[in-house]
Amino acid sequence: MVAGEALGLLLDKVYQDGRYDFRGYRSGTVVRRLERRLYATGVRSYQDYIGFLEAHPEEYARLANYLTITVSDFFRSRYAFAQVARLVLPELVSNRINQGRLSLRLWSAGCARGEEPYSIAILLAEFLGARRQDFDISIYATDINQPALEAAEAGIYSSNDMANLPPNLREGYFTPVGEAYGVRAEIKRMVHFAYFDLAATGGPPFTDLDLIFCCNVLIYFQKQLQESLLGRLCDGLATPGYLVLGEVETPTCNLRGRLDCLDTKAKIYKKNTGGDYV
Amino acid sequence: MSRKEETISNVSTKDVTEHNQTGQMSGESEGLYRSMIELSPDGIVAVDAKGALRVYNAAAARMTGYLREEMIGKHFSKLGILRLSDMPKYMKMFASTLRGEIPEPFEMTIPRKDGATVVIEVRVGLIKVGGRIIIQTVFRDITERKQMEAEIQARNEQLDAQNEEELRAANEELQASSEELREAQEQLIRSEKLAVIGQLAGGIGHELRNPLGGMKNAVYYIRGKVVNSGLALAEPRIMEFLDIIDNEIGSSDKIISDLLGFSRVGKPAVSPANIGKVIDGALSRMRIPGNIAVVKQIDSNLPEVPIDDSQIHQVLVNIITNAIQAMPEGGKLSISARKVKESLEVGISDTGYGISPEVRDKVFDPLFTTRAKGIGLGLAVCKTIVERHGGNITVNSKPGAGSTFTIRLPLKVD
Ligand SMILES: Nc1ncnc2c1ncn2[C@@H]1O[C@H](COP(=O)(O)OP(=O)(O)OP(=O)(O)O)[C@@H](O)[C@H]1O
Ligand SMILES: C[S@@+](CC[C@H](N)C(=O)[O-])C[C@H]1O[C@@H](n2cnc3c(N)ncnc32)[C@H](O)[C@@H]1O
Ligand SMILES: [Mg+2]
Repeated sequence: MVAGEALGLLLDKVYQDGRYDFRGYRSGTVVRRLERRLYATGVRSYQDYIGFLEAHPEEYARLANYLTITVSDFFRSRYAFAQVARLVLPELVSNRINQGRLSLRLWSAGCARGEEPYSIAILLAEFLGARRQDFDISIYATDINQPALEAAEAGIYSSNDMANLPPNLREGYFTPVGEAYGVRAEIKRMVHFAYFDLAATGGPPFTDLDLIFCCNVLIYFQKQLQESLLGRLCDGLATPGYLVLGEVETPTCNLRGRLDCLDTKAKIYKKNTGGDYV
Repeated sequence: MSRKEETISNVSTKDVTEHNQTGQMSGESEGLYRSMIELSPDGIVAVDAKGALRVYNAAAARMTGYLREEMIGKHFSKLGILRLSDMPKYMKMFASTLRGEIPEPFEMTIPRKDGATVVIEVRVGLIKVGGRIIIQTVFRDITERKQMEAEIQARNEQLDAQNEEELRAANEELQASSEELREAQEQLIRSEKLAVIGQLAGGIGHELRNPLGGMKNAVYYIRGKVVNSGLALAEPRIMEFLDIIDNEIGSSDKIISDLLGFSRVGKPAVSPANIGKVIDGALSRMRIPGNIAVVKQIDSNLPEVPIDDSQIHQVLVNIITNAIQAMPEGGKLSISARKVKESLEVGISDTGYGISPEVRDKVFDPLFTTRAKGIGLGLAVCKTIVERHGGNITVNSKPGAGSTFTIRLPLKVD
């Protein structure tokens, strides 16, 4: 059997019985990570690993956690966050004030251990200042990596984890918990964590969103899955609504004119009123 | 002659007249070559047989920071961008290239005028312009990619360190980013190339349509006069030649349609269509050799699909043409259509010589061809059209056994 076929069979199996869909992921990452998982479980081939999965169903979740890379950081791309504060928030907030509808809905898709959604919450708190109390803010944060979600929910980070966070923000929004730091309740209150699989077809779990961060998730996907996810993210956005991607990510087909790029370096896109493609 | 003309590629009016005398390149294709070079997103630099710089395009100037005026005419060893210690190597390469030994693509680091360094990937070619030999180098800035690769390398070496798993993950992330970046780069080059072709094609295509139309009418007229005259009997090859002219006009017309496919910007004119009919339409317009069996498998009750049927017609014709060309000894051409989720999937398979993995990555690139008479526009046009419909096109192939092209078109427009 050709290597590609064996991999395909394994991923089909993981999808059928484990209900994790890695079929649209880039094979490079999947293969490299799988090899290590095979090594860790002591089996030799993909075929043997299928047998192992059958005997140990708990391995599905372990595999899924291992295949997803949860590397992240607070304010990971400083520039992107700064540009969101410059290009996105002023318009968003003033629109809402004009409409007399003081609510904001945001989504961190692929939130890893919570660094990103908490950074967004802190950015909003900094931006709104005293007016924050007037706003009803919901930041949805989703991932498929359960241990990462649990860590995110706990909101406790080592000083190592927080190296990228300016000291004034650390002092303002965290409280010491032994050697580590915990996210303050006022920030935590804005963020809601949930399991959601971005590779699953079907509509977006949230709609009418003002701002979506989907950073460093697309890089793991093949073009086809990238395109379908981008389409669904776009569907979830309000009009106007904003989308932020990771530093090296670009929407391939520009979603047939549904998105305008506001900043090519920060990867900030705005959903336009168009979308009436016939 | 204006200064601009003189410096664009230093192929001056004198050269152009020379070409016409030697009959190698018409003024028109000369102009085409020149604008292609000037508009190319890749840096292009060429030296003559003596090593003097004769072509230096805008992209090259952008990448190196040196202006065309500073470079044109200089010997390549005196440009100030090649390291002295490497000079013997380049001299050797220059001599062997002139002998026709084209070096493999290579990477080099060059200093920009502003002091920064750029890493470039260089491809060398030997071309003949107007009876003169020119060594052409085409290069691309890969600095960013190199940096990323270096970082990955460094991380790989660190992996033995403590937080092994964390590092591994970080490295994995970096690797995925680098792959993404490379693909984006390729996509960019592709779309820039398409834009260049589009720009040129629009004008030239229209210019050529009219004379071709005139020729077609003339052939029609002559045929009418000759067919019932004694001439056709006395000189039967006349009819044969008229057929040849007709055929050649037809294939020129196809090339022009392909070219115009690029310049036609904007949305396809979409209306619901029956794909079975569009497939039949395409097949009926083609001459399928007798040694090729056509097998159709169109699911019944397929919903109508919103497409620009003349554009999809062109897609089918291009793919079927390739399939036929891949089966010179005959074989089977299978065409299927079915509904998969919210898409219509059309598959076109042949039992021809197949596509090797190296070639497979490039078949949709504009101007990529492996055929002596190919232009390499067929599949590039298909991809552009299908993507403008919001669909996609992929290829699967077993070298030696055949290839399958699959077109997916969304059944709903959003
Ligand atoms: N069915 C096929 N079987 C084998 N190789 C194919 C097939 N279809 C395409 N190719 C390869 O892909 C290349 C690009 O195809 P494409 O149609 O874009 O250009 P072309 O056929 O070479 O030229 P033209 O512009 O005249 O169509 C071909 O040169 C050939 O190598
Ligand atoms: C590299 S992290 C990026 C974290 C954060 N967005 C950032 O940019 O720093 C990628 C995250 O995407 C998650 N992920 C991967 N595939 C996913 C899927 N199909 N559905 C949801 N999340 C997924 C991984 O679990 C991981 O937490
Ligand atoms: Mg072709």
